[in-house]
Amino acid sequence: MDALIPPDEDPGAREAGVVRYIDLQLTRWFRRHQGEYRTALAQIERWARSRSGSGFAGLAPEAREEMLALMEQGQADRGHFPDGGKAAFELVLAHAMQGFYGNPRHSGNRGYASWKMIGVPPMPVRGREHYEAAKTFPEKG
Amino acid sequence: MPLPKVDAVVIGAGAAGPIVAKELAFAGWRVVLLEKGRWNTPADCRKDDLRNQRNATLGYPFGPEEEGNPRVIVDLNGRERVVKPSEPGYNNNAFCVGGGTLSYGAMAWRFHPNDFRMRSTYAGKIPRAFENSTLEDWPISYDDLEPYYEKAEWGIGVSGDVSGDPFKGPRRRPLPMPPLPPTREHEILEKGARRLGLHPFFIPMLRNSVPYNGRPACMRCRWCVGFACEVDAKNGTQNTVIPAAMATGNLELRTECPAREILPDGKGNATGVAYFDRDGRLWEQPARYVVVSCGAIESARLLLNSRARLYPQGLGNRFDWVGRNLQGHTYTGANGLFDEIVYDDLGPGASIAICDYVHGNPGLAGGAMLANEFIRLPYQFVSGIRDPDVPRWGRAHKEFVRRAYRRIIPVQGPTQEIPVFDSRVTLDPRVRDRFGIPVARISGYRHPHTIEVSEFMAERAAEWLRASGAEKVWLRRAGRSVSAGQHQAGTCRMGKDPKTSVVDPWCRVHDTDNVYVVDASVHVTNGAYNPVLTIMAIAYRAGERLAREGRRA
Repeated sequence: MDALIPPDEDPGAREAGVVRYIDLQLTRWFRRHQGEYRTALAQIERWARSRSGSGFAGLAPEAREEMLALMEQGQADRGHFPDGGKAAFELVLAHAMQGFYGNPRHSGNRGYASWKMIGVPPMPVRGREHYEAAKTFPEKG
Repeated sequence: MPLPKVDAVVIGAGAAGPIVAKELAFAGWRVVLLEKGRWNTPADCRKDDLRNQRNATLGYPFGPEEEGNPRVIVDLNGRERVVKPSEPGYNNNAFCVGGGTLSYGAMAWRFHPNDFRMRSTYAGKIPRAFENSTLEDWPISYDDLEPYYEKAEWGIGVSGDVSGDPFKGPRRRPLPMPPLPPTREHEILEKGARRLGLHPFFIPMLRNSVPYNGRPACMRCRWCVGFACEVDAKNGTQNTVIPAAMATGNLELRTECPAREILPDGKGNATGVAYFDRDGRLWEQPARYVVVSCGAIESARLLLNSRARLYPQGLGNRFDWVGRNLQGHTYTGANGLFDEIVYDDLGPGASIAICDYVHGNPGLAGGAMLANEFIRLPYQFVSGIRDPDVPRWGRAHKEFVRRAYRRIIPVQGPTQEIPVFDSRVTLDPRVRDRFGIPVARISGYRHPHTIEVSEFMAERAAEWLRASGAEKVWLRRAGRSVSAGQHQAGTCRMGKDPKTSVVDPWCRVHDTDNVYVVDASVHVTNGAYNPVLTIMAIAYRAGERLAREGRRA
């Protein structure tokens, strides 16, 4: 995930809870994608081992970025991905962006990390919303 | 099971149906209004940028339900797909009380006088627009609708200032409310437009800029287009004509009640409507008049699903025109990246428009109004706007979002589409909804001239942004796939000749005495503007006439 949205002066995907967003949605709205995730994760893992002998998570950031770029172009090893990895890449990229830039109520964008990054104030505290705000900003609750 | 007979049953509580219901209820008619969806409230705003009527990443809050409401889409290569509401190609509007007017952006445009006479304006001049198209004049004119535009503007509530638009049709009264104060984007774009000799002005909006009709003014939050207004400052049928009509005691609104078919009397007319209630029980509501107001896709579907001995191909479909000429708008434009910060976090965002390119473009039939876009929520920005020279992910993309989010102005406009006979709604022979009713099957394409005009409009948007000081500008183009969606129109064309249209100039289905279609289905062409005020004006006109001349039960 951090290869897609890396940490810099602002949090990256992992720190902002993108994995939590995807895990949660895979049990809810994205239930239909569970199979695709299982297949894609296994494919990436096998491909990483065949390339370098190490699992994807154990690779250097540059190596991971290179693999993702090949998947984006549909040029990943067709022995592992029938479509060159394009479909799996698009699915995960869309979900990562949702989890990072979307509303924190869905468990991503922890602490409004991305909204703070772009300079957009979080939800105004108004009406019943203050119940949600109290959870997000305990210091103001 | 039959219920007591009423004077009229109106199917669909969107932009049009409730206005007809209100006109009839005020005249003392007993009216039943059926709505497939629920009645939401301002508390359903929810501010969820992944689940609203403009972003269905996690579904639509205002309908339809994700399960049990499929459609079939046939793409440009003839491949067909069964799609759920949140999937691409469904062409959704809302299914709820208020319909699209609960959560719309609420631009309140009158069509241009020439939008009602596209054939007369361009015949002989732009032959390309007439090749393989059904481009035609309306049987009514701007002048016929003018009093009803005014009625919609004052009755539902419109703010804005169109006095700076020299291209508008004649009007008798100004808008009832002043515009909201200009945004930073407005000020930047106004200077650019003046530099080009264009005529910028404040977009008319169905949104309170001052307290109006017992509800407060807009508080300028960013959860606007796609959301129910948290303070109820956005004016739709759900907070105007529906409560007014219910207060007469003559209107009964039944929610979560989808119609199955219009019931035949054996002589070509209707006796009422068969519908399901929320528990799935089938009812028959007898009525003297039946008014169909379900939007261009569902109205056509309901007529096609209403078959009888005299009309085996569907009600009003003797000459195979029901479902034809499906159209929407072809949105194109440009994004401009500025050196300065242009974002001021003021909703609704859209504020300034020009109508210089609505008609009279060299070598083209029609054009579009151009306006700045509604305020962008972060994920909406990320999923829709990107400098084409920036990668889609990684360090550079994140850096782009961080710098550009508050520095980009999108300008776009709804190009008036050239209608095509083969862009259409039919019934799918196999797929059914959860009540076993055949679903809409959508097929067709955009006319080549529509694409040509839309490319011209994208260039004009880019020009405007450059003149306004953008350091980099890139175009937003359109594909050839048929468009319907929120601006869906055209499937039950209004006309004088029953052989080439479905309803007469008063929205009565030609072959019947007592069935009306009142919504954007009747639009011959869909204007160079957002269509809702025209839909409302047509509903006021048809409803007033029916209340005056109809015979009650």
